[in-house]
Amino acid sequence: MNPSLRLRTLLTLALIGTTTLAACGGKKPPVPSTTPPPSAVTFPGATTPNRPPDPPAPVPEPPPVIPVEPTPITSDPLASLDTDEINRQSPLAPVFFGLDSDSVDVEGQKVLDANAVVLRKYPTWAITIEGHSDERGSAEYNLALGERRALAVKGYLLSLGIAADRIRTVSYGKEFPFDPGNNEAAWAKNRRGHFVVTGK
Amino acid sequence: MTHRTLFGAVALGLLALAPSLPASVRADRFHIASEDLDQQKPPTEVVVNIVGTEGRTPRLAVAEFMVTGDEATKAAAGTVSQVLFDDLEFEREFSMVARTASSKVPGAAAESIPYTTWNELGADAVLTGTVTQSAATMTMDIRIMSVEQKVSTFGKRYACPSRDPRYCAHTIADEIHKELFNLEGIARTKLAFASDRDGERLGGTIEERSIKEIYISDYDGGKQMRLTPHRSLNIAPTWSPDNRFLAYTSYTSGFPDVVVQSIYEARAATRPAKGTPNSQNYLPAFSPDGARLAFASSRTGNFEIYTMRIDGSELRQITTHPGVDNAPTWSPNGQQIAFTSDRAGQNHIYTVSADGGPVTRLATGGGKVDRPTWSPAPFNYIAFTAEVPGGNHVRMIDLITNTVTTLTTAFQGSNESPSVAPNGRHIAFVTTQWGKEHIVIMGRDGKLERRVTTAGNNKYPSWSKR
Repeated sequence: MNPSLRLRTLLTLALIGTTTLAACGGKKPPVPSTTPPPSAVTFPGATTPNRPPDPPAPVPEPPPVIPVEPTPITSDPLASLDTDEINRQSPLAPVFFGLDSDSVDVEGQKVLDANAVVLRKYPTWAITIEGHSDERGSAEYNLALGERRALAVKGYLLSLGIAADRIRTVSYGKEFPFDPGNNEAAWAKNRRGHFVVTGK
Repeated sequence: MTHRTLFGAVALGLLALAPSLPASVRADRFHIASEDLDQQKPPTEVVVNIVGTEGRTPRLAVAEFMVTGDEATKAAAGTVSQVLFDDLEFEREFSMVARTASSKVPGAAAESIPYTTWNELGADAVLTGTVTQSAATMTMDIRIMSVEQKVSTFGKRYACPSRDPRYCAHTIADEIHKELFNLEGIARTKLAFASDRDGERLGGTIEERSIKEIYISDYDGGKQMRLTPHRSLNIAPTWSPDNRFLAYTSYTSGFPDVVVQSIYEARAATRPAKGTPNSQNYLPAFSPDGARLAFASSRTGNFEIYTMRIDGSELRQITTHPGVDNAPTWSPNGQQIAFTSDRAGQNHIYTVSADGGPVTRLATGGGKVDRPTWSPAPFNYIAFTAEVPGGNHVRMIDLITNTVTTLTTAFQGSNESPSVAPNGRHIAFVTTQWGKEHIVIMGRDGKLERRVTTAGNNKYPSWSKR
């Protein structure tokens, strides 16, 4: 590390130190004193036997009722969620592919038709389509295959009128399998176009 | 901003600016001082004696080193001895007398070597080491004595830092190969690869995904260390010819892009291909003169091969075809590029002039192929991945005879992503034979494997260029 970098590190550490101290309560807001105010002075033996009864304590007025703000009736639990919570509910189903294939079959088209309905319902959502492959085949080849799959899914959505600027694509090849198994059931799950909601 | 994210961002920024490595790695760039012990010896004459016995590979014994020094020095000298043995064995210019046999012979000074005993053990030559500690340095006198003629064929004194015995051994091995066989050894070469060994979870996704970072190590797996601080997916590193930069494919921005990073200097990494979500870039490869990078890009909506200067200027599109063109590698003289394409249906390997133009398909046999790696001169072969039922094998095609050889027949599992050593005699690749993905090296004849990695999944090996 060269001297100027070292200096920058020290300064940075010092800065962090200061911030931490401040937030850990170096200064405290003023606390109101809890000592009761002095009561009226009374003298022993100065009581008056014929003292009239105290007036009744005033009945406190009831506090004004603040009506509860009405909750809008909605059947849409997704609207209030952040993108991670949305993605956990997988509102956009994945599209699965055949071995070595990047063509969206009839089943996949149905899935995308349904996804397009969701995307029209939430016109502010931005999405990323991830292209994935199974573990067979070689790593470099699968990077390209994953991208072809992602682009095929995007192309179909564009044909349904979803705006291109809402859709990003990325290929992960065989780097991130959804099912780590080494069998046809796992491979079938891993050959997919996977949807992620990235903005709302 | 909370403290934690503030600290995280600052720490990450510093790491990105200064990928500072332990001193032991930087020391690799410095030469270990050495001097000839026997100025008067006629080396070439004696070399003939050692090699000449009935034309077979000479048998070399590594004698127990004579060490004067503290326990740490003895341990360091032991490491030198073991690593040197392994280096010499792997290059196969010598046939090594097993250490179980040689360790039973007491170490001796040069004047009192028990030649009769070594002769009985079948040794044509014996390597002796005399080690003296002085402060943090080991002075090592290394000799190779002809058992028959009882004369030195190699003798050098090395001033080795005690804290880096592996590099000391690698230096000695390279100098022995150079001096006795005029061979460029690979003992000081390095490997780069991608690994998920840290088990760190990738951010920005709800899926359980591990980050992959770029690591480097000695060719034999020594001194493994993480080079990149991105905490994202980083794959397919490749060395610059001067071994000072790595280019790789990084998903740090959320899409794949080519990143060029200095290994030893604190300077910011660059993105010469200027990737965007709509212009994604993969699998860079340095030209042999280090001036250009070849890479694959889908910027037109389809994978094509491009080259550019390493600063991103002078972009050239090399291929123009609706098929997927990918995984470029340069010929040793830099005039051609080999790549994969599925333009004929399935993936084949093609060659093209580095300026573009007509392509030539290589006859690599049946099955999909991938990741061509052109051997250095004077060899003229391309190693590649070939898909076979149940996985992949590493194969090579001789470009003179067009003969295809499978190199990994002795391996279980799937074997892929070959990279060739700078002297052309060895190959690194990925195998699943031990369950997870691991890097292994072996001779280009498929023999004498050495496992390089043991932790996590490791893939996309790249052998340094020297």
